[in-house]
Amino acid sequence: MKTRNRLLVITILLTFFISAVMIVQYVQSGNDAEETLVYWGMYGDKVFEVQQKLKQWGYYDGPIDGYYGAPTFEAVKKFQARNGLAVDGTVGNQTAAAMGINLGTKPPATGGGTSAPPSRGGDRGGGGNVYLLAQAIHGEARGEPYLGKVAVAAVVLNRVADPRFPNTIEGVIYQPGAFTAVSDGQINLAPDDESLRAARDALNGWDPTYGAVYYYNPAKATSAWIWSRPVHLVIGKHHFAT
Amino acid sequence: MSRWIITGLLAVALAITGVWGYNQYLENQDHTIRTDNLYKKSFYELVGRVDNIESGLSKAMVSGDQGQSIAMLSDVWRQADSASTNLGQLPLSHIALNKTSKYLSQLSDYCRYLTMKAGEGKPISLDEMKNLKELKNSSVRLNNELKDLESNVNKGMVTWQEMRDMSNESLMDASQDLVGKQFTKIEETSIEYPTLIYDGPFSETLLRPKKLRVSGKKIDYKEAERIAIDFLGRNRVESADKGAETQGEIETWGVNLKTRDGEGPYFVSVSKMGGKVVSLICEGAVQGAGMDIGKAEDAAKKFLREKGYKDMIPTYEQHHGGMAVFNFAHKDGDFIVYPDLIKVKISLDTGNPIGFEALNYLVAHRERDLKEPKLSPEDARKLINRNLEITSERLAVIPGKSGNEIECYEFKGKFDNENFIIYINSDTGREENILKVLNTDNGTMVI
Repeated sequence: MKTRNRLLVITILLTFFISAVMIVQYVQSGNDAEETLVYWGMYGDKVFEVQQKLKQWGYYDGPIDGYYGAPTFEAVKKFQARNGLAVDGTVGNQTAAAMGINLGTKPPATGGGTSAPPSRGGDRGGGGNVYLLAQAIHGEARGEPYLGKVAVAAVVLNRVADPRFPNTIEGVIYQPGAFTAVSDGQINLAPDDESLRAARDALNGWDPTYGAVYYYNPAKATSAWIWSRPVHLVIGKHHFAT
Repeated sequence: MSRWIITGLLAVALAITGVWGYNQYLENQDHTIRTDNLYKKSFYELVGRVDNIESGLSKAMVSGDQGQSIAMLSDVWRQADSASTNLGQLPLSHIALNKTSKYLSQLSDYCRYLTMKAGEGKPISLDEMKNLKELKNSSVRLNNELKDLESNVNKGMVTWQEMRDMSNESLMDASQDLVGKQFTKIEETSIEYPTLIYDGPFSETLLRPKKLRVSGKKIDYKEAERIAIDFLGRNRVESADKGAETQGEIETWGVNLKTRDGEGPYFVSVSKMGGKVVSLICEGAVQGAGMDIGKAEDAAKKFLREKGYKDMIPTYEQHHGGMAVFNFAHKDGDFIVYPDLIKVKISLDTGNPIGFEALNYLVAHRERDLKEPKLSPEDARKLINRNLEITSERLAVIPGKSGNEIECYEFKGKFDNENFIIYINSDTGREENILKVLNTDNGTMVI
């Protein structure tokens, strides 16, 4: 009897504890959750638009009547599931953005991850951001000889000048998947003095690679494609190629 | 009794872990959605812009009104520029995007060139019309393919999650993911257009690899080492060994040098043909910085003279962290020739040269046949905006946008307390370039 009581108390306490945490969580996630803007029971132009889009893409086969009923609800859920959105059957800002619909109310939240690094270098010469370039060097070529650092920066600048790549330093460095240091976040480390010097040398026109737009570490690169590029020079662990 | 307490504690711990895990899951989902949305935004913008490019190009070709077609072309220029930015934001391997990106960059550049040309009242030539037509056909095909891809993305057949996973492995095989595959297909079948040669930074003429204009025979490494040691000064060099050599269009030997005075180490790059020093890089930092900039400039001039580069005039200067970089241009008669550019870096601690870069000079320099300008200096001066207070003038050769060279009058002047340099073509009177001079604590720069 005594043990059963104890078990009961523990279970109750546990249930209470978990639900408390859940509630806190729910409230927290509710704060930055999207505002529901088009939902079940609504009637109007916005629903019309949602139905049109869903029908166009084959999620919805009911009538386009501007009424948000069960068929629309199911279609929205299907759309959300396929597009990696929170599946709640209501069209909020994120779902609307994914559908390409402007709901005409609040603008959708801006990701928050687009903060540009402050131009601490203060350099305007060469039209480049010395600090950002130095960060890229530090992330990509820490531990490489000085020459290898200048060469890595030169590859970034050669890409800027090449129509096959984005046309700004930021565009080249932050092109998804282009540099491992950007993908794994090492670019956010503060660059050391040597990286800053190497960045300035590269911006001033020193290019030990004479025009390379690729480099790779042969010990790590597994792409057959990259091996087919003509190698221009080897510095430290990096092969530089065009 | 104690068993119950332990069980209870473990249950609580498990519950906390569970809650924490669920929390992490929610957070992860939130991040996934946010980044996915950014990718989608870029993708939909790209699709929309390629659509606008297609219609803009066809309208520009059909329009009979010069002003109207300028407006259309400048819109295509802007749309193509933005589209190429969008393309660079997609989580796809850049290998899959090479051709599409090049197409958009060149299209934007070409339309800019045609806009400028039309702005000067020159009509679009038949050849240029033909190029536009080909570019338009490519845009139609690209547009169709993107629409296909859009519907696949919308149907959920392709998820950005897969693509992101792929792109994390930089420089990995590009053609494994679906969208990457589709882009590779687009590149193989859709993007076809003629080689574009025009007055712009992405013109094919500029994409050809640079070649050194150096005569002489091929040298071996021993010879290169001797040249490198002499370049820095035989008495300063303690030891030399072989460094990175380059292959390809510009072939060089690399020599690492250590000095007796501890400055350096240095890396010297010597051309395999003709044995010219192309560049010198100092790998070490500079400790102090006591030297006056004027004295450093004298040291740079003296160094160039000693190395056999005569008639070099300093043009710009910048200094940072105990080092000053001087730009020199070649003086050919009355002309200052900017494409013949050499940079010399001087340590403000010791006054020694710690950097040298002559690639531009070695690629561009030759005996030029510079003619008397057709336009008199007086007539050229009349073409300058009257508000500019002219402080100096001289003849100059400047690099054009497509790698050509243009003979100009160079006017320096002041307007509203700001300094400008204006280049007037010495034959046609066309204003070729305007530079704004920035006098900063770190030297003079132009933008």
